[in-house]
Amino acid sequence: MLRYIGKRLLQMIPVVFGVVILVFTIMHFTPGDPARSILGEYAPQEAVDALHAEMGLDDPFLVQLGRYLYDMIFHFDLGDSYQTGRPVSSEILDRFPTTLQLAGISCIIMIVVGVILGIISAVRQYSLLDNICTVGGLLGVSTPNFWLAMMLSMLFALKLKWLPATGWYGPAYWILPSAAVGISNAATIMRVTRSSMLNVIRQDYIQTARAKGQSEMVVIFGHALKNASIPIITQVGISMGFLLTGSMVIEVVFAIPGLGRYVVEAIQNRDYIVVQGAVMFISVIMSLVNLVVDLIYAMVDPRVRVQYRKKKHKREEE
Amino acid sequence: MKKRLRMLVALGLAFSLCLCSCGGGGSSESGASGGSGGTQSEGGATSGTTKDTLTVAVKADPKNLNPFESSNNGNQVTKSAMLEKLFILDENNEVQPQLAESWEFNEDNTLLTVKLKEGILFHNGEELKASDVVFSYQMAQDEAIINAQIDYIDFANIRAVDDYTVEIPMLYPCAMAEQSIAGSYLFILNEKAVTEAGDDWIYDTPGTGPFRFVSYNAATDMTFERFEDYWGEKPAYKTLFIRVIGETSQALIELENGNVDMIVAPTLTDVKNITDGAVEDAVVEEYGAVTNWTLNFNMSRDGVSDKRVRQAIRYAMNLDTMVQGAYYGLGTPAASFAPSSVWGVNQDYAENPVYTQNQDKARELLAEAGYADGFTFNVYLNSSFPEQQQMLEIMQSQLAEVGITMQINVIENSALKEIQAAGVEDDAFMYGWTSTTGEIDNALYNRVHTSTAPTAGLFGWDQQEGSARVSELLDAARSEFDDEARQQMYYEVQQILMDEVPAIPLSERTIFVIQSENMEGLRLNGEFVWVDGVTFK
Repeated sequence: MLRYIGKRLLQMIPVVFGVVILVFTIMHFTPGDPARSILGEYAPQEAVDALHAEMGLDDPFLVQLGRYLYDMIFHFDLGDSYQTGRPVSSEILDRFPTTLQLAGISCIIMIVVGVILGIISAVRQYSLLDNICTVGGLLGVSTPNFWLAMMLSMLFALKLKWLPATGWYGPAYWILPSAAVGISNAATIMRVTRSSMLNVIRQDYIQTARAKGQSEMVVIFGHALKNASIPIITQVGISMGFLLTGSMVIEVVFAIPGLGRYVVEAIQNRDYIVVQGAVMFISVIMSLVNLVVDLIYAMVDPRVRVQYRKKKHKREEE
Repeated sequence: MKKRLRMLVALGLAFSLCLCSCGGGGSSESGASGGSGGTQSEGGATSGTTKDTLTVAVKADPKNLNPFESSNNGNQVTKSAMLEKLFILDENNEVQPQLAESWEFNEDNTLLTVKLKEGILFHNGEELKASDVVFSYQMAQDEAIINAQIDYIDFANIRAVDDYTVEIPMLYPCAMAEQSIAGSYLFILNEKAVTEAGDDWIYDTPGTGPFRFVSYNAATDMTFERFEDYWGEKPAYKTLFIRVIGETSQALIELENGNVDMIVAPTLTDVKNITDGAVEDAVVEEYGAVTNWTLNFNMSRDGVSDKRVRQAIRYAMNLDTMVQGAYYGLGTPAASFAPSSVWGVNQDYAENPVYTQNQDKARELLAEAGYADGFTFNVYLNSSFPEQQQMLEIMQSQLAEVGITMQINVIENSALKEIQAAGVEDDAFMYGWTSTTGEIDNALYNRVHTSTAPTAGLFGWDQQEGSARVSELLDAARSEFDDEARQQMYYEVQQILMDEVPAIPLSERTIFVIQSENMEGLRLNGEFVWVDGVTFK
């Protein structure tokens, strides 16, 4: 297993490099001059030219790319933000805990709501409850999360005055944004859970478990859910990847100082260096989430574990 | 399997705990610091009858406290809260002393001698001395915005005569020097503090203003507290809490709930909601304008290089319809090249405009210019201002009626600046002509003086008939100390610009602030927002 993890971590290196080079190239050839953006509309051309030289923006594209990669690899330096002058890495690390927190709480809401409703829907197929869940799931998938965010704010912040509409200062502030993100994603999880559970509960071994006299709870949670969990974990992994890299719209709407909003602001300000650093960070996070998802597969599904062991035995035999 | 499930549950719980402890730690602290005003709750909201915190919602993160950088709506508040200048412009654009006790020019107006008020303390306890003024001015001279706006001060030779007297030599006699210094970003910093802080000075800038800096959380908030040793009248409340809320509609909810007291630079839609009475306990305050939105021509391009084509475009427009349509009835059509409150603007244009919609005249001019079968040009504009786009869309349909096709390109600001600076793609672009000094020179000089026009994107202006005369008049006006004579020069400049049409003034960018009904005493002069005089009813 450790060997597998090491191999996967090594595979991340070309992925991250590919992403960095691609983003650097796209940002480089996108219209917009960071020097003019920093100096403002009144800046004379000489001042803009001087700042170009100072920032190395006059150098050929390949020289700029090479310098960026060199600093990144040998000094772990992602550069300094053009807008604030602070190191990009420390700005990312300042913002990431907030995004991590939002993603974590949203993920809990997403899994609890999505999986429970999905199970109920599958177990009570074609019942009124199933129809409500199915329609609700469809609405949840189709509803843009910024609209849901606005509606939740209107109801809980404006009308009922139970919760604050913006900020990230404590538990009361976490509820609305997490709910907006969690509910939107829960709809997808609910649909995947329902479909996966429906496949499993029709299998013979489920009938056998019931025939053995096991309680319905044990049958559903001990046998059916366990075997239906792989597609659910896959979907949770995908959603979690997106959540960890910043729910941009939600962070903007609720004024949350997270990674998503940081990237949006950097793009607006043509802060190349921040965009590159943030995208590299996002690609690492996405790769790590994928790795964790693969490891969870092995934890919950013996068939996947067997695959790892088979490979190990094969190597030993060789 | 059960063991593994238990492990998964345990991992999940540990993850949740980790989230609760690690996430937003800084922000939580900021909420607490923002709440240092005693009765404030977590987010800066204030409850009870004794309000000792003013919470201001801004759209843009102030990012730092460098006073010499151009302002966004975030540091419009922070700069004026903690920093001060020798003299300032009041709400009526009149020059008023701030740190200066008195000042006078020598006979030939080449030397400004300023006597400082004595006993003024910086937030770090240091006393304001003339050396701080010299240090601050020399520090500011390399900043692009200062460079572009103030070219008459001989920064290198400013000197402290004694502890409270400073001499500021002029490179040439400049009639609007006082006005210009008062309206600029020439704030006074403490030399010792800035020197000791090194590169970090922009995050902890001790000024002499009524509030001292306490904390900053990027993209979240900035907290200031009343400076108890302030030399002037101290604010009636203790804490100033600036919150960065990008979505004004969300900020409005916070205002309705009492968590925010005022919103700087709201969207027009939100202003309209307030004026329509859709939001309780909130009022809109209107504070005039410092900027006129204008359609600027790149006169190095075919078609728009011809004055008759530009005049035809102007004749084809109905400005009132455009502005009222795009601004929900809240806009003011621009009569000239700077807002009507600015000194030097020819006020007659408001009642007797040079141009009114005349489609026949527009067609005639187009035919004379060789475009009888129609004419096509492009316009670039900043995506941050939807009302500009709406205005251009109305204009587009008006121009189409006389055979002019206007292609609208909406792009983000830095890309617009690049296109504008290059001048090879655009026939025209939307931009603001701003006067922060309260007089028209500030709006005109950097746009239509031939030495600066290309920087402003007005390529080819120097090839137009009236450009040389405009530059001559602008230079002469700067050295003309008779206000009446100077005003006549600006009137002539405006008349030439109206005739040559290097740009078309469209609308005044009125400054709105949404505030809670129970507060008063806010002051603005367009560029800066002073919150120190706010009291709660």
